[in-house]
Amino acid sequence: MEKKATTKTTIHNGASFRDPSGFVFETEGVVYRQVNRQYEKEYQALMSSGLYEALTKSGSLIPHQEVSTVKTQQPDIAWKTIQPEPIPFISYPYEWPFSMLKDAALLTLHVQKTALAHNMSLKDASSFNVQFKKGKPIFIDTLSFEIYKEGVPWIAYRQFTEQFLAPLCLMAKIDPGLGQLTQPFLGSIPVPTASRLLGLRSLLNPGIFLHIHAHAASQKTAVRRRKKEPTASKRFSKTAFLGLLESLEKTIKKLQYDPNNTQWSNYYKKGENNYTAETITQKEKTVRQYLDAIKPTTVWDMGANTGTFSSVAAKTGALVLAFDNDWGALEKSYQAIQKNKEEHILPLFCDLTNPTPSLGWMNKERLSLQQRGPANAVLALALVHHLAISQNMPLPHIAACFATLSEYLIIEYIDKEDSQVQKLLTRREDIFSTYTQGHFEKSFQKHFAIIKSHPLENSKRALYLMKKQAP
Amino acid sequence: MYRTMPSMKKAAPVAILFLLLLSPMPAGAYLDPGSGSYFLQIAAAALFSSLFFIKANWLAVKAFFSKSFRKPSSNGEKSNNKNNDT
Repeated sequence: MEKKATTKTTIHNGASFRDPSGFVFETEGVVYRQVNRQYEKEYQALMSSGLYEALTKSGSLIPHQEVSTVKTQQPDIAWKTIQPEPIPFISYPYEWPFSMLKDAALLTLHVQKTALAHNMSLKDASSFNVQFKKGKPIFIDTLSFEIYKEGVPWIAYRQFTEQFLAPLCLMAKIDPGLGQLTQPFLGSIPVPTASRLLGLRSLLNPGIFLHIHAHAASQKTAVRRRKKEPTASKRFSKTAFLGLLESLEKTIKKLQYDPNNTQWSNYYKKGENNYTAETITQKEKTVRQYLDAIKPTTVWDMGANTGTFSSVAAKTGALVLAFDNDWGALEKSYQAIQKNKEEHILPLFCDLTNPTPSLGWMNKERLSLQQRGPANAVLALALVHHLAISQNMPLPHIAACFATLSEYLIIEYIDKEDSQVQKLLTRREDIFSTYTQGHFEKSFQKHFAIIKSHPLENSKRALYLMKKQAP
Repeated sequence: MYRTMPSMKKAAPVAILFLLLLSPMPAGAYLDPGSGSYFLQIAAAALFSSLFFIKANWLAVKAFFSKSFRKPSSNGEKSNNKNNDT
């Protein structure tokens, strides 16, 4: 169904420029994708072969509508404009816990298998082509499909290995935080680097041996090969292609990560914290009361741990980003989301003392955390003492940081006499003479008005609802 | 990489593949596949084909192998029966 879009100021997406088939742009806050004339044949094939229908029906590809051509920065090469369904929050693969990246990888392989069944193929396999919507991964690059040519190997095999298989192997076999290693490589880990990091033990895994180690060796020896690199072979039939995808799928499915042994993944287990059951109930009720008063559409839960209070926020219908810097807690959060079919929560990595920076060409391709905000409301529960004591962050600095993140703040003050703070000070000199409730309130009142406040029973803690003031 | 086929009947697919080698990459296929990537995929193509064949025909493959293992025990029983008859 055609929809008319009027001429307005357009912003060309900072990461959408490598593919001559088209590009993403934004007009008045609405995201569009320009389809260029050279992609006409492939677009028609996508829509008429049944591939678009198959992928959108299974929730694998973002649906779109065709709109009348709007005035863009390149109208001379434009053929059509499409308007995809919006993604509520753009997140990046280096912010995803292990199972989120694994599900994104398996989705990409599923999309490729479905494409082959309709005589098409993915011409790229970037992890940035997958986003999360309603708790599930979804493929967003509608122009990623080309007509399948029998005999030609998969052009996207190297990219798939670098952006999915390599980081997943490192996260499963070495450390779950190694997904962040893709940041300096813009979503990739070079295959030879992954090969060297994985070491000898992984040689026994046939999939890792073939797709990482043999792949690295093939790259290294390509320079020495006198004959020109082959670009096609009748040996690489459709069956061989499907076998390659089968091998990648099997290798990825076998990769597992146990989230139970990190510092914070068991925080809410009995005995691990100092909350009584009554205190937790009172805290949940008060947080819910504060949220009902402000009715936010987006909530950033900073230090969300396994998502206990993210779930409270999700019940209001808001989109909740459950940020934490513990990879085990994030993994558990995502596993619970899958189990409960939760559609409102997205667990993402964030170290508030070093949040995701902007990356890529002119540092404008991938946005920093702040550039993707602000939120309507931030939850900062059981967090401020970690920033102030463990990270030596002065309270005025913490207040100024939260003022950049959202309009409303629901924050928990944890007094120095609290047993958890005492634990943080056992091996340290107490240099925190200014860490008091009075100084906390004064620091935050420079940026926020305190709307409500409740002390938590049986604890040295208090909850606050604050609203950002004009400077 | 290619051997000339002696039979005239097999010339056509070879000619098509030859043209494929000469033709430019499809429009919009902007990605650099990376050196060594095509070489590895082609080198392992036979392995991938058999992997897929086994997966697609798993039950038939399983039945084939279990039949082969059952053969030696049925031969032993026959010779025993012969001895008992005489």
